[in-house]
Amino acid sequence: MRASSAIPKTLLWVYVALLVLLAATVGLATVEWGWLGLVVALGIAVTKAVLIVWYFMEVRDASRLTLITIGAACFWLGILLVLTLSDYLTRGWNPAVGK
Amino acid sequence: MTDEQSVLEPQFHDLAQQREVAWLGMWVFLATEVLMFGALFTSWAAYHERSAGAWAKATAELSLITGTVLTAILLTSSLAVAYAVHAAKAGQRRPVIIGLMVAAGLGLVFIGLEGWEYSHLIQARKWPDSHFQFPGPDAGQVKLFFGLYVSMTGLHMCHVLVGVLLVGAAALGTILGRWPTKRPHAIALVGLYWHFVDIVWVFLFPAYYLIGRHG
Repeated sequence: MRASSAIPKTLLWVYVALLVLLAATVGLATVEWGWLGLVVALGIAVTKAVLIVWYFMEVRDASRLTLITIGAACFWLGILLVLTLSDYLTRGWNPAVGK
Repeated sequence: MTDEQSVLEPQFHDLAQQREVAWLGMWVFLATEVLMFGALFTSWAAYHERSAGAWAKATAELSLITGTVLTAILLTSSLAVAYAVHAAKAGQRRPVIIGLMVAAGLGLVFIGLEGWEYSHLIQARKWPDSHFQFPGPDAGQVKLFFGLYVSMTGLHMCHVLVGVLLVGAAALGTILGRWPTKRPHAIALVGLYWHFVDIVWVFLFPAYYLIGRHG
C-alpha cells in the first residue's frame, strides 16, 4: 500500500509555529522594550532554533552521541560568549583601573 | 526501506554504525560552524554593548519587510527539505524531487533578495567602504554595524550558495535515479546542513533587523 505523500502533520505544525514566532518577534520589535527587547528577541530566536533542531533535524530520534555533540557545540559557544562578554560588559566598573 | 544499494565499507561493523558515523560527522562539522559563526556573533555582542544607541539608527536603515521575507523564505525552504527527507525515508521519489527543488529555488530567491538589499545599501552609501556616508557623530559606529552586517550576511550567503549546490545535486541525483531514494541518509545529511544555515539566519535576523528598532 502506497504511503501518503502528503507533508507530515508534525512538520507542518512546526512550520506554522515558526511562522507564528516570526510574526511575534517582528511585532514585538516595533515596541520600545529597552534591554528586555534583546532578551525577548533572543528567546524567540532560541525557541525557533530548538524547534528546527528537534523536529526538522530529527534530533528527537537521535543517539546520545549526537546529543552530546550538540551539547558540546552549545557549551563551547557558551564559553566563548561568557568569557568575552564578561570582559566587555565589565569595563568601566572599576574607575581606578580605567577602560 | 532497504539498504541493498548502500555499500558497507570495510572499516564499519554494520550499516547502522556506518550511518551513525556519517550522521555524527556532519554534526561535528556543524559544531565547528557554530564556533565560526559564534565568534562573529560574539563580536556583534561585544560591539553592541558599547554602540547600542548608534546601532539603533543603523538598524533603521535596513528594511524590516525585506528581513522578514528573507526569514520566511528560509523557514519555508527548511520545511521543503524536511519533507524531502521524510519522503526519501518512505521511498517516494517524486516528493523528494519536489521538496529539494523547492528548497533550492527558495535558496536562490534568498540570495537574489539579499543581493538586492546589498545594492540598496550601496546606493544609499551605507556600504562600509570609502563612499560610506552617515550624518552626525555616530558615523563610525554605524559603519562598524554595516561592516559586521556585510561580513556576517555575506558569509551566511556563501553557506546558502553551498547549500543550494548540495540540495540541487541531491535533486539531480534523485531525478537521474542514481541515489538518494536508495540512500535516504545522504539526503538527511544535506538536510542537516541546510537546516543549520537556516538557524544561523534565525539569529542574524534579530541581530541586525530587529534589536534596537522600535516604532
